[in-house]
Amino acid sequence: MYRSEDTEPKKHRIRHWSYWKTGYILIAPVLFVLIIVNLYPSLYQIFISFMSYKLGSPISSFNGIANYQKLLTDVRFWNSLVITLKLLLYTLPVQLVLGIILAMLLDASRYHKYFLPLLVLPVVTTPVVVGYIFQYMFREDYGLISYFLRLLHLFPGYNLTANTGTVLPAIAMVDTWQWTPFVMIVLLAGLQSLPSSVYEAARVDGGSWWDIFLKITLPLLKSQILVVLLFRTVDVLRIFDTIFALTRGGPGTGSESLTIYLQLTGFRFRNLGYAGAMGMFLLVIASLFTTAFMKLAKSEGIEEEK
Amino acid sequence: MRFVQKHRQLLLVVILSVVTFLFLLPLIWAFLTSLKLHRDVFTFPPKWIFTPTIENYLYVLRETDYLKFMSNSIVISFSSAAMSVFLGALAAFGLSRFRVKGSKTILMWILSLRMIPPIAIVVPFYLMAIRIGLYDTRSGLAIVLLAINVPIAVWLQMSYIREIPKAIEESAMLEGCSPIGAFFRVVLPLEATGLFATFIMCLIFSWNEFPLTMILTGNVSKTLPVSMLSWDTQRGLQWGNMMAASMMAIAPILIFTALAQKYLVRGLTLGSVVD
Repeated sequence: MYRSEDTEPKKHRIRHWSYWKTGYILIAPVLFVLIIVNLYPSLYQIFISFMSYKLGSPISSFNGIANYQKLLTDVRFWNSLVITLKLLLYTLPVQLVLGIILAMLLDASRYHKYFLPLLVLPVVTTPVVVGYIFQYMFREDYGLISYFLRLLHLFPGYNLTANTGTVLPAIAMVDTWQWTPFVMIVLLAGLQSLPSSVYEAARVDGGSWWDIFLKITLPLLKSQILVVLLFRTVDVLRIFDTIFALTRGGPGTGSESLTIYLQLTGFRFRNLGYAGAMGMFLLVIASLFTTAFMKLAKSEGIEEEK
Repeated sequence: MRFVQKHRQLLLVVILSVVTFLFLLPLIWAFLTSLKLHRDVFTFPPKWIFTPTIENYLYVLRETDYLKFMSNSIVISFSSAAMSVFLGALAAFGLSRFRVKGSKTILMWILSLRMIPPIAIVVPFYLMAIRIGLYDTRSGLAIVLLAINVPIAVWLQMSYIREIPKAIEESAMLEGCSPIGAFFRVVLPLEATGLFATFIMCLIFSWNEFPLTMILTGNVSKTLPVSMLSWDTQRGLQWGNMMAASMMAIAPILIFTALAQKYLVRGLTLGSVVD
């Protein structure tokens, strides 16, 4: 700031050119970090994905689009994509419905303050620890879940995570245990911001409970529901920790999600070039889902993440 | 029906207590197992009442490098969180108060880091880390974790900074404060809650991070969650020890959460849902 310019109107002084430059100085460090941890690795990955790059062997050679061609014909890769999509299908609707029910129960209770701190604990529990706790609870002989299933005469006679037919629902159950509270707290925040006068007016008009829910509550919660769906979708796409600790992708390839297969390919089979191509594929899918949600949010007139 | 009307609040408390118990059951069960002697773990039906012991905790502390992993976890997550909060505060201030060309694009870019699976770019991270000698080092991992923390730090703090009336900094600047000075003297103190909330959220995310940490660390800088893998070699044989290790691995997180309870909704949704 120039002290000598005191004759200038004060308002004018903040509009000085150094003021405008400040914005760039402030974001420079973050841009630098973004380049190191995102831009450069992404570009590098594009390069790697066109290489034949085996971990441990010093020779890497240009491979053209061979890695991408391999993706198209790799049955195991398509299997992992199907598993990832199935997990989305098994988790999102259940978590959304349960989350709404729980949020409404909490909203109706005068004492929700006392339950919330306990209910959110699954959300912050280290996912890999969650995986191990459930691995223990799924044991067919002494596991707690198997025990309860026996009490209910529902026990199929095997460990749910050791059978291809039940392993995905089992993983979805673990994910639901961990993330329903997240859906719940977000929707609860939405419910509590609704003016109670809206409800009273509807009740006076003689709307049934279900009518009020469908025509008033749900539409008013639209933005929170979109936020929840967005976060849950991207988090299920990246699910890794729980599966790794629970089944390592097994039995066979029964729970091998995209992320698990990528890790195996790169760091067990040591084929970094191919894993790089898979990473590119994952980037594209995640971006597609995110863009779709953002578009949806915009068309619904919600300015997401204001 | 009249009974329901009359005791509505009581019924809700009963239902919510049952639900809460169900959600806590896995954690309670893990905790009980961590206090069990080996012979009490493998019983059918499962034992709810037994003589508790701290043997398992002592075993973990004595026989494994638990304290080393704990110090790795603390050093890595605290330093990564601190860096992220500071960088994020600067950027959030710059992006919400100054005219920056392409600021929308930059914000979407930052957000995309939260949306994309971190494992999607683990291959280049791994090769870069090896090439520049940061593989299996605490500082290398703390830098990589910025990729996880920066979106939280920038977006969350933007939502806090926007709540501060612009007039306050403007009057500071009229008093002769430079914009950077105004940031340190006016904005940061007013954003104290946001700083704290962001720090805790980054801490939780860095502490819990698993795939990148697993791939980018070896024996030297392994964190607590990754060290859990070593129990898996004797599958199902040492549940007591394993659960004791688990409990000690999540205890710090539970403490962070207790501190940040109020900010959790906003933190987890990067400031888009405000309680």
